[in-house]
Amino acid sequence: MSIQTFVRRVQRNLFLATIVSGVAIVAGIIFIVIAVAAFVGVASSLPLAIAAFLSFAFVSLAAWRFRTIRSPRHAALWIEELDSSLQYAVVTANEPNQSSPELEKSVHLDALQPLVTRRIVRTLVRGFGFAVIASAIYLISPATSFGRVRIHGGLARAFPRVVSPVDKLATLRARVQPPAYSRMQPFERTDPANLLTLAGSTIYLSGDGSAEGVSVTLDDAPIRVSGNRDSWTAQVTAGKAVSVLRAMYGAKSRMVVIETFPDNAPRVTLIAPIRDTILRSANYSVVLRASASDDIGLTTGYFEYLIVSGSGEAFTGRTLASTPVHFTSRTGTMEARLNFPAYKIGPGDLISIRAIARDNNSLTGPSLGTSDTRTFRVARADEYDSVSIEAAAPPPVDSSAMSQRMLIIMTEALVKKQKTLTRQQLVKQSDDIGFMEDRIRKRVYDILYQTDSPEGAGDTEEVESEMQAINNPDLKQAYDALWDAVRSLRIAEPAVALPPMRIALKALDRARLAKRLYLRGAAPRIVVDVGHVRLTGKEHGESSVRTPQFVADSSRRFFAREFQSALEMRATDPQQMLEALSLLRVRALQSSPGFAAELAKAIDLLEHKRPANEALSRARKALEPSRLMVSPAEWGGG
Amino acid sequence: MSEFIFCTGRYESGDWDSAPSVPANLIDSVARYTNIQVAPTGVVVPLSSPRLLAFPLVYMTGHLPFRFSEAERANARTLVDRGGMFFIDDHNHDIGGVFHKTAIEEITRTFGKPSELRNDNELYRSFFNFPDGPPATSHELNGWGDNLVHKNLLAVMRGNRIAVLYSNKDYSSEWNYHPDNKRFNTVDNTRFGVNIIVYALTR
Repeated sequence: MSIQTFVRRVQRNLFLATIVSGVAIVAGIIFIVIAVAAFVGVASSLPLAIAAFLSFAFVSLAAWRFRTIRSPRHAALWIEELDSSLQYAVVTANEPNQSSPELEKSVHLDALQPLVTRRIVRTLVRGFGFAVIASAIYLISPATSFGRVRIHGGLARAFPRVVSPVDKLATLRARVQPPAYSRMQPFERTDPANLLTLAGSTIYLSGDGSAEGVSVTLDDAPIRVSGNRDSWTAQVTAGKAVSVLRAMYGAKSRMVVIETFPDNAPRVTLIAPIRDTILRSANYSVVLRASASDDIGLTTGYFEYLIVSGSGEAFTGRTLASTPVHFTSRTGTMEARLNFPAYKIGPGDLISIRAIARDNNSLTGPSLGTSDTRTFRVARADEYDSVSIEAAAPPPVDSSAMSQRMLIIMTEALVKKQKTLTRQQLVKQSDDIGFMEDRIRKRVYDILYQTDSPEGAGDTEEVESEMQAINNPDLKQAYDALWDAVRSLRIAEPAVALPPMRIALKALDRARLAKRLYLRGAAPRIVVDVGHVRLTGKEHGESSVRTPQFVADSSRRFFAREFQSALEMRATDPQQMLEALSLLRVRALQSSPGFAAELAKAIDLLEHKRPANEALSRARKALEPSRLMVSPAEWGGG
Repeated sequence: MSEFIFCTGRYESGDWDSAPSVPANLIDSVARYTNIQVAPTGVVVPLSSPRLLAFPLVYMTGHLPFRFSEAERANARTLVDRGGMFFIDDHNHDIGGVFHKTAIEEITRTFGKPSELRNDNELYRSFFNFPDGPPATSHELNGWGDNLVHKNLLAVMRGNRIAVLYSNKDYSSEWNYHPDNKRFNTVDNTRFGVNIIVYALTR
């Protein structure tokens, strides 16, 4: 090996050793700072900030100190320092064009290698030694569970007069396990002031030290505390929207507000049919379509048919369901076909259709989500005159209007070429148009008089009462005009037929565009002569004492009063103030979410001992009447 | 103080207007027995309309399926949260009937599960005294519907206040006649309606 190669290898090893040693020293610095902070009792992020600063300072210093090893010349000089007998032979040999066989022979690299290795190892040992010592200090410090429980606990037991007992509430840990069906990931929080989780989650609250002397309550109900020598644990299930979990040890107490969000029922939208319909015939089949979504997950969905038969006050109902559709995700669609004859649906029956979806809540559910209801009603033969107001879509008049327009065009063309045709041709073509016009007349007749006959009216005049037609004057006008047009066309007078044909088209258009209303029937208007009957009753009642009502904004006043009381404790007992604000937030969560949200921000700042005046001011402003969203339930209807 | 206006709730499903004379009959009774300033006619308000919130008592009845749309449900909840009261009567008088089944389902979904109202509730002495609880109707006594005489009404409470009063005694049939015909009754059978109105206005 040449001297130059040796120097480069030493340079590389020295660089690596410096880096590794530096990392170990930085880790040691962080451990030391955290341990010292724990001994002193400083919480929050200050120790980490100090550790980061010191680490940065150390890295900067080390980079400056060891900047020279970047060049082989300085590495050669570093080797020369290890052995003064080298007489700068290594430096000289490392210079360009200065190396010679004599110089190479004068340096005994085998003797130099142990010196270099020893020096590099010493650098590493120094760094790791510092890191190990720092780790040990950290381990026995109150920053770790071992330090708190074993060291501090042992010292407290050995020297009870000198060392105070372990604070079992100093560090609270909460592990939240959402219900299995939700497939949500469990999570952990250290020293939580509040937890937000899905309703039904299991919360494991734990702390340092044995369970002896520790008590835990959930909304003032005691919870069993178990554990071993090192830690205690309490298990609760988050059920209510908001609950207060309190851990107590001696005179100390810690509070955790548990907020839950519910597993909402699925949302179901009935896409088809889009509206209620009255049908003339029970021979009907309809496609049903719905979409469903859920916040956690859907399992099944189906359509429910409630078929009500009867009239007057005697009704019977049947509830049937379509074949369920299975879902595997949070959203899904379902489709079914409702065939009326298959369900023996007859005239007068009312069919209410809705879509239903279940979620996968196996804990408190499953929750059912239902869509709006659409109803189909099959008209009875005796009520055809009153149900034609809302015809089933599409209205049959539409196609009649289209055909009538075509026949007018054909008739106009016939009139134009009339002079070029023989009498026989004119009669034939006019009669053909008259035949088609007559078919429209029969269709209009069917609609107008609500007949079941597929052929409609024959050539005879209507035998039904004209009163039936009064319900739809447009169709009646169209029907009369069509009669006139048919007569003229049948006797080969197309020009005479055109005016009534146009009248019929306009009337059909009006009927087609008429607003369709479903009138449930107007209640008879009875106007009571209040002055006349006033206090004429033979019997006398007695009004009982009216229940006093609360002041309308008593909730706001209550919150403002409690808020002020809590703030007054700020100077004397900050911890109690925090607790009072947390409890106030719990109370306000449901009825005044804006105030609760601002209060949460202020509590967070106060817990971290950061300036909170602005946040508290915002919370106070949130209580002003214009911003308050207090549920009227709070004021009891007053 | 504004006058009391009797409000009938119009819901999208079913036949909300099956007892059209009940409002006038109860208005007549309120005027006949109390000093409450009352409008001579009632109003019909869609359940989804914000106007509903102006009325302290909303009457609903029907024979057919009773289901709210989302808008109706939200509005109905708001009314109850604001201290209003619903009086829902099963016009079928039949616990196996479609109105009862669907109404109980809808009430549970919208307001919470109804429970039997004790017969010593304030409702039964808010104006006239009904020591035995809700008065029986001729439809019950004649064996119509489910052939039962229902001992209790059902109610959803908010605190100690009735928020939703549900009856399957068929008061809608019992009170569905022109108020002028009251003179033919020995005992006015609408007195309990006065109690409901007085209760809604004072609790």
